[in-house]
Amino acid sequence: MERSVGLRGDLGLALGAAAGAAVYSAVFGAAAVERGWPVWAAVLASVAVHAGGSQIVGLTALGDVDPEAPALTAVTAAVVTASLVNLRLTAFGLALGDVFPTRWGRALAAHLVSDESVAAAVTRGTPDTRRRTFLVVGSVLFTGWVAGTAVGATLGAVLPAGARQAVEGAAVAAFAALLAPLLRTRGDLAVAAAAAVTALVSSWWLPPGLPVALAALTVLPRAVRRR
Amino acid sequence: MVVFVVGLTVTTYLLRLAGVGAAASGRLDDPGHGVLTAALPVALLAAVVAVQAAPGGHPSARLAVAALVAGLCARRTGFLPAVLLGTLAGALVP
Repeated sequence: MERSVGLRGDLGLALGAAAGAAVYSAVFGAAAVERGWPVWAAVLASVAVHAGGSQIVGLTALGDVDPEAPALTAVTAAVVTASLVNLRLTAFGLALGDVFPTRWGRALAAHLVSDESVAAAVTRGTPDTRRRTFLVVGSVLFTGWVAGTAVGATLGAVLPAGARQAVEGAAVAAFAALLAPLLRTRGDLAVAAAAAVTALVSSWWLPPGLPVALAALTVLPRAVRRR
Repeated sequence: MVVFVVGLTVTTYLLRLAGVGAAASGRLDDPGHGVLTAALPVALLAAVVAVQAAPGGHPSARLAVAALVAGLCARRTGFLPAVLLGTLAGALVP
């Protein structure tokens, strides 16, 4: 079955993930411009950071500070808060395993590590197919992410709120569609349920980002039992 | 703004590189690692879906329906149609 999953399958995954990401990044682009960022700065942030949740959380954490001359403490706090959201990217990188054996390969590929690219890659059976899927999904997703930001930053303010709300579910739908095929056994279901409950309950009092990182710990009992 | 973007760029890249580098270093090469590699994406994606469907811990019917429909459709229809159906179903929730 793994051999039959080719480039076309990767592109299907990539386009769907990119569509969801584009909607999400358009929200970031529109919010950044609303807070006084120039369009180019919003797009540059998406090119350089390429991590959706953290960009939106960081933007929120920056609050209403002057975008031209923000206080250093406010910026530091915003960077720290947004980085917490990205802790999960370390865990996703761990899940890639031996996909990139060389140091240069890892250095270049690291920027494409995202929830979607790794989740798509781990469904493939060999390091070669995982590498191909990761690069295809990661590259198309990155393109969609940056394009969505540009569209949102340029047109976001003129879109009616109803239109924005209507497509709000695209990002969570993409994540759910990536998750479902990974739930193959009762053990997978148990891990997913434990992680979802942990993240949900902890999000009542932990800052954004930490609930997902905390939920990653739910795999430890399963890993320890196998040793 | 520039300091924020540069700071977040550096920390995000280092966080990504730490995971990819540790995975390839062989330090995790034990029986538990295979389980980690398989189960981590499951746990992380489930957590991401949960917090996205319930922003701030408060479930949103529209987002929950989008996630549920997309998840249920993913195995039968494939990824892209599932995302579209999920988004559509969520948009229909008042």
